[in-house]
Amino acid sequence: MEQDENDIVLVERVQNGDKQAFNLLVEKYQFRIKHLVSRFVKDSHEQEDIVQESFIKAYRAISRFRGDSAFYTWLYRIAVNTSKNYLVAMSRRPPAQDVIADEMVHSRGAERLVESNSPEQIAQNDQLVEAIKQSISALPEELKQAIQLREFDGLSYEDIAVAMNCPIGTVRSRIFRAREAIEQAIADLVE
Amino acid sequence: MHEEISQLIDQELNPEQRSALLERLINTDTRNNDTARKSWKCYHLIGNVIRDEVPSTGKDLSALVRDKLEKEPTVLAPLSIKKPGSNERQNARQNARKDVWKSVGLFAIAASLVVVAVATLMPMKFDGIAFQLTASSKAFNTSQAIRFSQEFDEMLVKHAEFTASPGMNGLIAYAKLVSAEKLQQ
Repeated sequence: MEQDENDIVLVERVQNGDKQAFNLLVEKYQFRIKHLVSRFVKDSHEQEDIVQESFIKAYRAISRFRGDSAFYTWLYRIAVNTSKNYLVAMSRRPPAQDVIADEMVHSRGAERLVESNSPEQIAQNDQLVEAIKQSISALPEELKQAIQLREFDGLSYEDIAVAMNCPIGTVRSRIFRAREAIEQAIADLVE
Repeated sequence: MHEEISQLIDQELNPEQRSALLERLINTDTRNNDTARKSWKCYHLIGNVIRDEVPSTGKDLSALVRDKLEKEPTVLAPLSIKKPGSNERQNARQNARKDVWKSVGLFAIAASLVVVAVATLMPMKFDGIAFQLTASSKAFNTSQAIRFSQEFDEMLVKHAEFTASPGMNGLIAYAKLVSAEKLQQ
């Protein structure tokens, strides 16, 4: 995997003591990491715990990151190991459904039980993803094609300009307009 | 500003613009409802949805991680990432080292070829002298060798009882004695 130049800058900032830079990396990769973790663990709350733990582990170990691989590749390995360790640990513990709800109130999972496990929350998240998909399909054809060539096929602006037979400036504008339209369409669903 | 964020995500900004914009994003607080930071997050999410990298329940965990991160001690490990430039320098150094070993290897091969050539060509050069030496030594050897062999056998028989025998005492000496007697007959 190719090194992402933004990641290099952000990781260097974190290594120089800038914690805030790490938040940008979390915002960037959280969904990809959760998607990865969901292959190992089915429960949404457990996935969230593992994702958080993976990021904290990555932050603690970031001084050891030397850029031999892409940052995401490194983070991916941490998330996979954290998921596997979690599964091993879970096999030694009683299953979650045997835990009495009253005991859970005093455990670290209390806030999850009350807040984030609600069907409303899940429905809202599904709604967000669905809204993005709908707004993509509602885009004018040239905007849809431009953003898909960029995000799905990973083409550079130069390559997209060749593929769409238009100037680079037009590609830049089309991709931005596509993102802007989608952002506006989901504005009510994002906190 | 937002168009620049779009370009930043696509890695289409030059290094100076990239650093400046990332600096601006790092120093904004999402809790202050900053639109630039929101766009950074949203544009990445759009990419995730297009690439189908979103879990069925995609709750935003960044605030939770940020809160946990505040309790963590600050990391201080500057200058640990390999820059693309430093990689090139390292590769150049490795190539230089490879070249040195390559030349040493070639020199060793050349030297061994010279040794082999000298070893094979020298006897050919003095072939006449070598033949004379072997012919005279052959004549000497045939008569001398028979006599020496007989004397040696006699000596072995005479001193057989003093030879060291690690196994069965006396058996090997006896065997030599018998075989020597048979030879003499």
